[in-house]
This record gives sequence, structure tokens and C-alpha cells, in this order.
Amino acid sequence: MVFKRPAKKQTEADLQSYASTVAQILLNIGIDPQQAAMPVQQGYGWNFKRGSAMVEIYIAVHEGVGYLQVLSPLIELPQANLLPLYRRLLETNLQITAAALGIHNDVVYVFHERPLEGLDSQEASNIINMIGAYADDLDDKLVQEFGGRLYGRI
Amino acid sequence: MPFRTLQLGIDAIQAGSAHEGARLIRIALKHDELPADMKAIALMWLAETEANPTGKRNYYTQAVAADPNNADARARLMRLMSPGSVTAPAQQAAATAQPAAPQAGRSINLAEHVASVVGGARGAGSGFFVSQDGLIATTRRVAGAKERLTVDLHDGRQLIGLVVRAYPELDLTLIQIDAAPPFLMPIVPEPRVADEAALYAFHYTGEAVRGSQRPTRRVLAVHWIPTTIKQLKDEGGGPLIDERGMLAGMITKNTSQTSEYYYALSIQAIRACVENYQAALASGTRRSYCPACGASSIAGGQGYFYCETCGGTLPAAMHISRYPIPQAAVLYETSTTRCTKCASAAGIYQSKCLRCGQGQY
Ligand SMILES: [Zn+2]
Repeated sequence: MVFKRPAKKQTEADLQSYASTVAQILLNIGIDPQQAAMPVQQGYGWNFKRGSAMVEIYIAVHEGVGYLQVLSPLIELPQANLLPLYRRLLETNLQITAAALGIHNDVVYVFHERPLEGLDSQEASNIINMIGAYADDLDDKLVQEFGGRLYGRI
Repeated sequence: MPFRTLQLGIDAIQAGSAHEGARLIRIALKHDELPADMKAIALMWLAETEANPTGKRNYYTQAVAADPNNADARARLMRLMSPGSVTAPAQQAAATAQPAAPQAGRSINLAEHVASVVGGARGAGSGFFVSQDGLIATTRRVAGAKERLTVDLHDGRQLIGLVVRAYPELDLTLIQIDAAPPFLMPIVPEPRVADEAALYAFHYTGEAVRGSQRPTRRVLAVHWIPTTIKQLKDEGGGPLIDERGMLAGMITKNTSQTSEYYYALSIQAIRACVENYQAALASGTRRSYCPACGASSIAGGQGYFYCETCGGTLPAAMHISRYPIPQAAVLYETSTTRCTKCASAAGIYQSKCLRCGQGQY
């Protein structure tokens, strides 16, 4: 996972059970987990399209606790005039609920994370829809105003 | 002097002026100081400009005579001599790393130009030489924000590649390695790949995916080549070669919003970036690579902490204690206009100060 590295290694069995939970959740919301699976260095990852947004899901283990991470890469940063964009991202960050905007390298993400424990598929589905909806709403607006390009698109 | 003339000739051919290039190379060949191996290379380039098979064969014969150790010249000559080579089918690209070229005389040993790039954020990708002094082009997607990558060459050498510059808007990363190609691949002379022209996206193993230019009604920047390719064996970055065996660009995994087809980046755009990077290097201003945005940071060259292009913390400053450096501020001030309320030179955007957010009236 890009943002956090597990500090302590969880057992493979723990990870696997988290993974099958998420796979089941994906099935419930109409996504084939096998098709969506992507190779990650540690843990598990899936990616798929939800509307026009690309959604990535990871199971990451941080200090022994499993987390569900749902994120969507929005735009690749433009070459110039970054300060107004950065300011806008911070302003928007304060307005959106239950999600965060952030930058990793040269890509702007919208991101949500919560512990896996107690997660049900309804909630997971809500999170995925929420991240997808934020992404859908923000990506075009940001590109239109500040330039750059949609993540991985031309 | 003959070296310079030869280089100018090769540059001219690569830029599409075959006639002018051939003229310069002939001038270079008149000088006795040109060593035999260079003579052979010059003759091979002349062969590139020659459409007539007999003329082409003559140049290769002379190249082999000048430098009997030039295996490439010998191989090309052999191919030209073998009956039926000119009509060889286009698809046997796999395994031999030969670009599928119906005119075998123009084909080159692609394996010498392609590398595998390992250690990026995703899986392995491909790359290829874009300068005689060891610059390799790959995609930003392959390289990610790494500063160092492993580059495997066809002869088994495994080298450390230093990422020196990236152009994320073009999905292009330049990597410096300590190795040189025998010569640069000939590039397409046309500024634009023709509609539906056959194209081959090469993988570092030498395998190729066949596709073609995909005509589109969309108004597209000239540096993007739409293709019919939808699947690659790696993360991209390999050379895109046309039917003539000429380099048209680099395959990427970028798509449009409405289709799954990949776009390639034109070789002309890649060359412009290489020149831009080399010019910055030659200017003498100390710079350092910013992995976050790909820029050559002047702030980094000065030992300051943050990239002036993206604001990212530079690698050399990552694990040290950082503090405000007043003399560095000028690099980060984006405006000559100061805020009427707080006097900051952060800049005014939509009539509001970017520092204090107050309106400017
Ligand atoms: Zn930067």
C-alpha cells in the first residue's frame, strides 16, 4: 500500500481472512474480486471502475490492526500554478466528510480508511460509493480549473 | 571535426532530413581521421537513407570492410544478401527482437536498444535508449517516484539506473545508465504517424504486440499517438516501431476516458524532452532530481529543502532537521504582486491572496 507500511507483520491467515471478507463485500456490490485483484507488495489490493472514477481498495495492516483503505486517484498535478490548487485542496478537504484529500508524488487522491473489524458490506458499499462520488465530482472540476490531466487518461 | 559532422548528419537523419543527413555523413567520411569503427557506423547510417537495395548493400559491404568487427553491419548485409529477405513477413518479431520490418535492410537488432526496468512502484516495464550517452526512456508509470531503478540489458548486464528527469504530463521518465547503445534507432521522419499505420509495441523480452494507429475524431495533442493496442505484457515503456523498423514512440498505459486503447508518446516529444534535460544540464546551474514531480530542482541544487516546482521535500532533505531559509524564499514566491492586506508574495488567485485568503480591492 502506498501510504502506510505495516509496522508489524500480521499472520498470513489473518490477512487472508480479511481478504476474503473484502472479496465477499466486492461480490455483494457486483464486482468480481478475482478480476479486480491487483498485485501489491504486502497485503491485498483490488481496483475497478465505479462510474468514471477508478477505485482502489487495499487491506493494510498497521501495528497489528487490519484496515480497509478505499481511495481514488483523481488527477495528475499540472505543471504550473500549483499553489492555488494546493490551497483549493485544503479548502475542499475541510468541506468533505469522512474522506481526505491528499497528494502522493504527483497524483491527487481522495482517501478513506477504517479498521476492518466490524465492517459490514452495506457500510463498505457506502464507502466505495462515497469515494467514487467524490472522485467523480472533483476530478473534472480540478482539471478544468487548474489543468493537469485525469489520472492515467489523455 | 569529422565526428561533429557525423553527429550532425545522424541528427539530421533522425530529425527526418535524410538528404541533408546523407550529405553531412559523406563529408565526414572524406576525413581520414575518422576511425574505422566510426566509418562503419557512418556507412550504416548512409544505408538508412538509401532506398535502392543495391545501393544499400553497397554501403553495408563498405561498412563490413571498414570494421569487420561490426556484427550489426554484417548481419544486415547477410539479410540483404539472402534471397526473399525483402519480402519477409512482418510478424516474426517474437523472440528474435527484430522489429517486424518488411524491408529487412532497415531492420536493427532491437534487443540492443531495449532494456527491462525493474524496481518501480508497479511491476517491471520496458525502456529504450534515447541518447548515445546512456539515457533510457520509460514511462513515469513504470518508474514511479523512484530515484534508482534496476536496468537489465539484453547481454545480461544488470545496471543501476539513476532517474534524472520525469515529465509526468507526458508519462515520461529519463533514466541514466552507464552503458551506450551501438547507435540510436532510426526514428520516423514524419511528424505524425499515418492513420491506421501498423505499429508494434515491443516488450523487453523482444516480443511485440501488433496493433495500428487508431484514427480518432478527437482533437488530440500531436505528441499522443492513439493505438489499437489494449493489452501489454508489462507496464509499458517499450518502443513503438512501425513497418519500416523505425521508432515512432513509446507505448504507455494511458487510455482515453471512453475507451481501453492505449496511447503512445511520439518520439518527437521524447526527443524534445531529452534536449530540454540536456540543455538544463549544460547550463551549469546545479540542480537535483525531485522524485515527487520529476523536475530538476534548482532549490535542491542549492541545498534547500523543498522543490520549487511542486513544494515536495527533496530526497536529500528528507531525513534531516529542516528550518526556514530566508534566502531560499525567492524561489518559492510565485508572484511579483504583493497582497494589500498581508504583503505576502504568495500570489493572488481569483482576487484573493493565496496566503491570507483576503480579497484584494
Ligand atoms: Zn518537485
